[in-house]
Amino acid sequence: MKSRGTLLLTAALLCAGPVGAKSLKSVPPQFDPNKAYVLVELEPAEDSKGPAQLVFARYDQAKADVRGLGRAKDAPLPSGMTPRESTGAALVKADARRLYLLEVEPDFWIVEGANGTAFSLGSAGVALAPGTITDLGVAVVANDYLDGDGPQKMTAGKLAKLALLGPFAGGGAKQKPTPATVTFRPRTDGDLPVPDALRSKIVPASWSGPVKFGNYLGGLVNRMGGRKARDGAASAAPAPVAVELPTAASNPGS
Amino acid sequence: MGRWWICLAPALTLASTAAHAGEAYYFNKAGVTRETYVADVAECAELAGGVRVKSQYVYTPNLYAAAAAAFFSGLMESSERRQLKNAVERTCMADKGYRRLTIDKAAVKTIRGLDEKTRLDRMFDLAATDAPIGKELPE
Repeated sequence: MKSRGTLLLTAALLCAGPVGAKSLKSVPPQFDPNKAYVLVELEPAEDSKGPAQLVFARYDQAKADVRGLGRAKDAPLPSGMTPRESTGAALVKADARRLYLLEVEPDFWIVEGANGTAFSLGSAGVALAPGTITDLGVAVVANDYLDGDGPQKMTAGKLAKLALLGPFAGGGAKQKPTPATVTFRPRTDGDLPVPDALRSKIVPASWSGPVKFGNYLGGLVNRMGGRKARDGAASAAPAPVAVELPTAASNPGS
Repeated sequence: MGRWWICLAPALTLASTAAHAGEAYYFNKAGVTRETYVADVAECAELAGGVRVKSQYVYTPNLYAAAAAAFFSGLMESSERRQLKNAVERTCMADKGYRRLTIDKAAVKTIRGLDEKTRLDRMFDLAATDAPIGKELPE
């Protein structure tokens, strides 16, 4: 009987998923005063075929790393609590654009990555206070191509070579690994409408950075603003990411 | 002193890893101090070490086919992992202001043949010189 109870509890915990963060599909009737909320719209790259993805992580500012990882490994989060949240279920959808409302634990959250690229070389974060909805504006995710580079055009010959030789097809047939980049901009009239229920509770994002951390996403790395944000210096700060609070003029639906 | 050698070990792999790909290269930033260079290389190697490649599994009831699939899937994974690690190292070093320059394979062979201390000195000379040899490569 005891083992049956343990089994049910384990199953319930597995079904519940990680504690501490979730991407909401609809505006909740009541906001949890103990949680923080993040509103962000994702605009994919022009050459992208699908929606983009952003990953946020809780950052330990004293130890200068993602909570519980790398330099902050000796200060782990409570069991079952995840240090990161990615944009999953969308609040509003239109073509490949998505508006997300994330419910997270109040903390200092950073933009850890986008489309599989970790912004380990320099990112920025926002302190999220309990009971607030912080608007990050519109995140434009793009591929950070080298000068003169661009998306590889697939010809029938290249496809056949890839199908036959796979990873041994050579540089000509394979797409070069290209890291992603993200820049944030304020909302404009053409962006997805923010639900009225959120508008009165929104606070603007107050970014701080740059922050550095390990490559925990397992893919490519970059700086949040990409090559343009480097400025030729190792300590170059990320690109400016100031976001303005939406006004009634820019959101006529309010 | 011991820390020095541990940190600089990945620097030596930069040229050797590239040699596998066909074109050997090294990183150069005129005037960089030895300490900074070691720290930069160590940081980039750590980021490259975080690369993970998803395992490909092909199901087949045939034992020989399964063995062949596992062999080729292993080759594909290591090729992809190497490519991603190189990309991470190159992006990271470029972010820190380093240029990537070609070095001929004979020179790489000569450097590898040197004793450890002389080899590290030679590697650092190449990294810090303001008159680098070789053709500049794209990041």
